[in-house]
Amino acid sequence: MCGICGIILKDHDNPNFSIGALLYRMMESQQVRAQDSAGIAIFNTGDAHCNDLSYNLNYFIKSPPTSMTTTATGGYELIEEKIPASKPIKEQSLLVSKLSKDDSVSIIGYSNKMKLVKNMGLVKDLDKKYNIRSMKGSHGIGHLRIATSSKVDPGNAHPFSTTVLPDIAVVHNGEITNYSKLRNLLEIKGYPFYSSCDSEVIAVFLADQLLMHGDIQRAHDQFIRKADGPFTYIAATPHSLSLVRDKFGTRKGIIGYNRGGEGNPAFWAMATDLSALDIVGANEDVKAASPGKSLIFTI
Amino acid sequence: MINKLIEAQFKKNSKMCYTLDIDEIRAIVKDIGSRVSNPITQFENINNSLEKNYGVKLPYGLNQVSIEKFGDVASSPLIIERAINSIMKKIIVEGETKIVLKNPKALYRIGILGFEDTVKLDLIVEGNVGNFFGAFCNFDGTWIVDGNAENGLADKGYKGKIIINGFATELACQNNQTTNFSSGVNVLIKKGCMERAMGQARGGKLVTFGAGYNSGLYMSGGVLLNLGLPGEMFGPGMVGGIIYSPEGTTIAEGAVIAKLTLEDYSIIKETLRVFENELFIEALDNFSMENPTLSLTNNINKNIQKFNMHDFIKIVPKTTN
Repeated sequence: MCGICGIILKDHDNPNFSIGALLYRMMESQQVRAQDSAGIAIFNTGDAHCNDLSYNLNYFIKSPPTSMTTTATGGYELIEEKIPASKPIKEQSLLVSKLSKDDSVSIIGYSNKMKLVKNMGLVKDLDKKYNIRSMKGSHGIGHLRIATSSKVDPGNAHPFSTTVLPDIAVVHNGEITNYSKLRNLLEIKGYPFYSSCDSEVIAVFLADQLLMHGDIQRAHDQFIRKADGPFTYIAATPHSLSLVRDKFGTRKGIIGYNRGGEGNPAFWAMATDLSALDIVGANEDVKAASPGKSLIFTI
Repeated sequence: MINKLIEAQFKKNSKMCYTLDIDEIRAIVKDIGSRVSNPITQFENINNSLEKNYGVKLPYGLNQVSIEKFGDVASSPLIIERAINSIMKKIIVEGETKIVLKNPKALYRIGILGFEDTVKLDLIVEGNVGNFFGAFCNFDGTWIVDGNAENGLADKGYKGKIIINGFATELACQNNQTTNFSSGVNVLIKKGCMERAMGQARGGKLVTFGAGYNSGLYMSGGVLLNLGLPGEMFGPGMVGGIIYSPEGTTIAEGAVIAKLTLEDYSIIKETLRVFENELFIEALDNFSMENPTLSLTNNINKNIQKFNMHDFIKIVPKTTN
């Protein structure tokens, strides 16, 4: 019973609007669904490095216990290690490989136009640590996790990203029942996995598809065709936000529109619970996304 | 705004009407949370305050689960959920049978009251409710929600009438029960149930202005009347019950489409009779196979809608056809 949500502004050039504040409210309204961990990813944040060719390698590192360590954060620190564009790909791979062998490290993925933060605990804990309510951007996604298939730690928290392709993030509600099979196929291709959560396979699968043909619609269609089990996921890239449901529609995925006004921008919002749309005023054209289909917004 | 006529009728008939603003309870809990950080003390103080103000006490187990899930007691919605249901239960035991709940703010599990025997209760909820509103409900009366409902509306319900002025997201009337003392909960959803309406229902009547994908999933009894747009893949695995929906509705494996017979018009009439007042149905007594047009409105401020039942199909299990 995870809770997922996403928002995309209709006009994408509104750098001063705190999309994080909307995501926070949507997540808070769904907090009763899940309390194990919370995370968000926001795109086109306007940070300085968004427009250059460098990017970040994001990972958690387990810090030694101190008096400041709390159970909410589990003693993990989120690191954004800047990778200069000039750094050879081989060196980058070696760094990732080295980190992935370190038991105290949990890799998240690469980002350039994406700000991804996640942690154990509630969304209010996440906000306290990362001030997510002040984050600006063109679109974003959020997740509240209740663990079903893997343990509760930051590495298994959503959104999931990859080191296969920068700036892809996925939040998921449900189960991918043929996860092992899909993961094995992707591992044979050489793609690394860093968690034991079934949801990670969606991000890696989409990254693989995007590398092959660059078409997000086709990537989702392929995933719907190949994945078993009940799932709804929201996937984001710097240029798109998608709501995708399994072919039987066994997990909720609802979308609504807020036309804005009085200085506020218009946006589409998507979530698990209707109350999450209502709380941000996305009460127009409310509908459930069609089963077995992907609903894609592009910028 | 809640349907004015229904509200007026409700208040006119109310000698005793208990209004409970859930924000008042939230304020008590928040105030305690702002002054006390120890969750065990929070729980004790909340319990003392609820006992003093409302005459109810919460079970101790809520303490532990709240700390486990939400880090403390004061920020746990489970406390509010349980407090509301305990207060409602106490009010009913004391003989008051009309309750208005204000500011539900999509709180989950409102109306799970735990009475073994049928209780008399009319209820108005002013706002959205969350998952499992009225689950296990077993009441005589009408419950009205002036807002949306989420999953599992009236889940495993036995008796009563529920009206939702907004949407229900999915699984409305799921596991609706027919027993030797009940015929299931009757539900009206004015903006429609998004998906899987009447999933696994064994009884009851659902009238909805829209029913989404896989409605009637594993249905084994009851009536689903969809007065909204045609739906998709209705009746997967259904073994009983009847679905009426506009032509164009598609079916899933296990269901078949049939034409309406004389008996169906009687069933539709009896189904609509449950909501005759709420839908302002004109001349329902005259409705028949020869006179198949229904005139009604699901919103007093909107125009009368006309439905010709000749344009509807019946969906039943394959085995019974």
